[in-house]
Amino acid sequence: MDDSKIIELYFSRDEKAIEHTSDKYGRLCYYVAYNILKSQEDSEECVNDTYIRLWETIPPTVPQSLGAYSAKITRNLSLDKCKEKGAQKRGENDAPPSYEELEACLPSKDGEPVDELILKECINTFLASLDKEKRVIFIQRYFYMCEIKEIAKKNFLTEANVKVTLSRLREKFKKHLERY
Amino acid sequence: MRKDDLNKMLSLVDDKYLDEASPVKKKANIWASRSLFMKLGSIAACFLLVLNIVLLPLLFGLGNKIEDMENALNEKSAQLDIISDTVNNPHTQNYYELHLGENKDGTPSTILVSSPSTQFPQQYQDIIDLLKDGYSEGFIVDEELEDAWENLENSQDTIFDESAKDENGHWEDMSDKLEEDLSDKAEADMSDKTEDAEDSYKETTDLQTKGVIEGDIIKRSNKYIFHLNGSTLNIYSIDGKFSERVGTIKLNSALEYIKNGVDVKVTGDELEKMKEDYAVREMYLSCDCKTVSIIVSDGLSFGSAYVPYVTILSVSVEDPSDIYIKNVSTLFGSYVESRMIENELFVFTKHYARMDYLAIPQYSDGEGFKLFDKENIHVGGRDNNTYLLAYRMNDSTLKMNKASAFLSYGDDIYVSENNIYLTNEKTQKTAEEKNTVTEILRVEYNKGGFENKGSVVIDGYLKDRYSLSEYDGFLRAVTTDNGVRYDENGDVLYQYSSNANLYIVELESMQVYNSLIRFAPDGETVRSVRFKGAYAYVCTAIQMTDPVFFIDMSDVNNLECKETGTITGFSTTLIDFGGDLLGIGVDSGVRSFKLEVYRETETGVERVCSLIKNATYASEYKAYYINRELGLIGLAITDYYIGDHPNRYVLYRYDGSSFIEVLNVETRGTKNLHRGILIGDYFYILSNDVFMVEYVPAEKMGITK
Repeated sequence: MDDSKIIELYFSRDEKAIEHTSDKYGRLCYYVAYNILKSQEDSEECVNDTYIRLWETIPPTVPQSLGAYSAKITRNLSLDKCKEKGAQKRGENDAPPSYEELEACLPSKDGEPVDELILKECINTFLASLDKEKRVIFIQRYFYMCEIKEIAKKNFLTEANVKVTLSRLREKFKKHLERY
Repeated sequence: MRKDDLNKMLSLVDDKYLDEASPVKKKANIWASRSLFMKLGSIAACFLLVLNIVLLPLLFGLGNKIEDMENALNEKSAQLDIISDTVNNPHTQNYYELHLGENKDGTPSTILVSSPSTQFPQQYQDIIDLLKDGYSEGFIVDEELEDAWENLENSQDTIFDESAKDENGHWEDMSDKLEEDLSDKAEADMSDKTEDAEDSYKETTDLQTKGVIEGDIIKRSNKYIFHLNGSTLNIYSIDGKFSERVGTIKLNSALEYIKNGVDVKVTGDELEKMKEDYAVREMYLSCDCKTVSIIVSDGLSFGSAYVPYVTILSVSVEDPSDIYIKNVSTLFGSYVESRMIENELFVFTKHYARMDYLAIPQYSDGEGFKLFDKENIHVGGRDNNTYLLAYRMNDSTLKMNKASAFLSYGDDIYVSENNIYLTNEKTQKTAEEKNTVTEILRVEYNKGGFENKGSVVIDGYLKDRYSLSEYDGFLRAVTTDNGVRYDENGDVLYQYSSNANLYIVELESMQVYNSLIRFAPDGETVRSVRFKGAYAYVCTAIQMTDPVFFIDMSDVNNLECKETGTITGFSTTLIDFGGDLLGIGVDSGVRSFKLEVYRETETGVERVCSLIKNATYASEYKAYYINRELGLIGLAITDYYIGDHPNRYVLYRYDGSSFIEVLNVETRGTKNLHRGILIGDYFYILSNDVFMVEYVPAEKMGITK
């Protein structure tokens, strides 16, 4: 079913909306959750929570892309769960390795929180300045938290090639963040 | 920026990018399947094309909107070569994809614009109006300026000198003591100085190109040191241990005033949010030492959008006790780089032509913002949605002389005596191979404008602007190259490991004239490059070992390459140092700082000497004090052998065979924000936390008086 029709179902408070979302984007959400949590049980729980969050937020939100919107929700819920689990294990850091890689690009790790609009401008300007191939690799690694091996396979590259590209992209990202 | 911001930032990625990179494909839709589409044959393809281009827009009532959009663009004399328009975003139906021809691989090159007939124009016009209000020639904010002496009293800055050490040899905060007697002494000094000879400009930045001034947080004349500390400009007299701050201006109030002036139409929380979003970047001192041009990155929140722009402040420093802002200009885009050549300021910004903004960038000529004319927009590479905007203006009046836009450029910018080189790193894919390539565009600027002189595409990516150099009719470039090759089925055949390439490009034709391909051991990437005359110096590394290469290009038809062989560590910066080459870098670990000198011999390259410390060091090139004449190198380090006060500023002298420590003093502040200058017998150290003056006897510097 077309995204706009599924969104209409949410607006008319028809529970079939969740069924169709699950049918169309369930795999994507599970994939995102599993990449972060590495646990079938936790991932399924996060995907279910995603449906609840979708139900609660549409309306009023009209997502531009239902898939991307669902993936964002799953990602946030999964990272929260990851943090929660880390805290239970007395501060152990369970963040996925890709997240740590990107953290190293921060010019400084403290200071005042940055305005959301500036963050939005910053990330999207950076992505817009990349060609499609590099943008896809960056997002697959740092948003979808894909393994290097998987990115290589999906983009017809070798693992070493992906590693070099990611290292170069992080360098560029760091330079870009310094401008903000 | 905090860790939380990073996560938040990733959740703000545009949906279109997430869809594009989605690792899980949606359930197959046979009508949308490209492979099936290809198999349908030309009749079916034509049918689908007609359906997409004609019938769908008509069904959705969009035909008129597309027409409106084209008309609007034509009216504004900013038409690009619109080949076709298609409905891009089925969710909003407000955005269109402009096809600007084809990329080299045959895919359509596109940028996104919103329909001028729908939500866009009013919102955008408002933004332009707001920015326009921020520009005003002769804008003076006298009332905003605090008296220099009042500032001095209120300042948190500290001034140190040699006599300020306590009995344990530690620095003592002398600011209170100094402030007591500053007023009288400074007034007396100032009256003396007015009798002095004319002030003259002295360069403090180690420039890549002679005569092409680079911005920095420090500049000097023969009388004063100008230091940009955050959003405060301080002026210090050059008077050895009696040096003092003779003028200061806090830019916060002026910038907020400008912004508040701009923000007249924005109220409430939004206004609060906007305050202090700016970042003061760097400055220039005019040739006559009367004007400081300060570059500030700023942005404006508007509804759901954030519009980055750059503010240029032209500040009168003719009389340090009466500093005031002469002129203000706002430029479209986020700040990338700048240069000053004679009295002209060149500023480069990046403008993201995205869905909710018009694809055509704007510039201000002092009478409001205007769309760039068609002839000033170079669509060139068409590989991504960002424009590099190049502006040139008078450094004092800020009157705009020329503004041009270059689509898809802006990764690294190198400015030579006559040309500006803009680069665009991209992926090049053919049926046989896929690799990173860099397109370099030559833009001639010596005739008053920005003249597009053509581009060249070379394999690999550049480390930074120091990887480019123009010399004797040729552009030389060093890249790291890596990629994959495919077999006839499109499967990965093998990856060729990374390596280094040197290209010599003829300027006239912008064609590769000669090259040295894969001259390093396999697997190595370029870590630092330096050109001097006909020589290129390149350091490549694989993990923690490196060779350093000396490439002689005196005869461009016969390139000669010599190397050190594998040695421990690698240089992150190479500096031509008299007749030798100085490397600043790491040794066997991340916390190991290494200074090393290399020299060419008949058969290869030898390591003359090295100095290794268990320390981390400033990584910014501009944070290094480089004096080739005296063989001095100064920088801030954190020395892990020193327990209590590990943050040091160190100055070494290279005597031709070893390093001699000239200075090793405790300091405070960010390593990359440290600057050092030797003037006479005194070494001045400035950071975001300290201003220190150290006496350095001539004999310590190897000078016999």
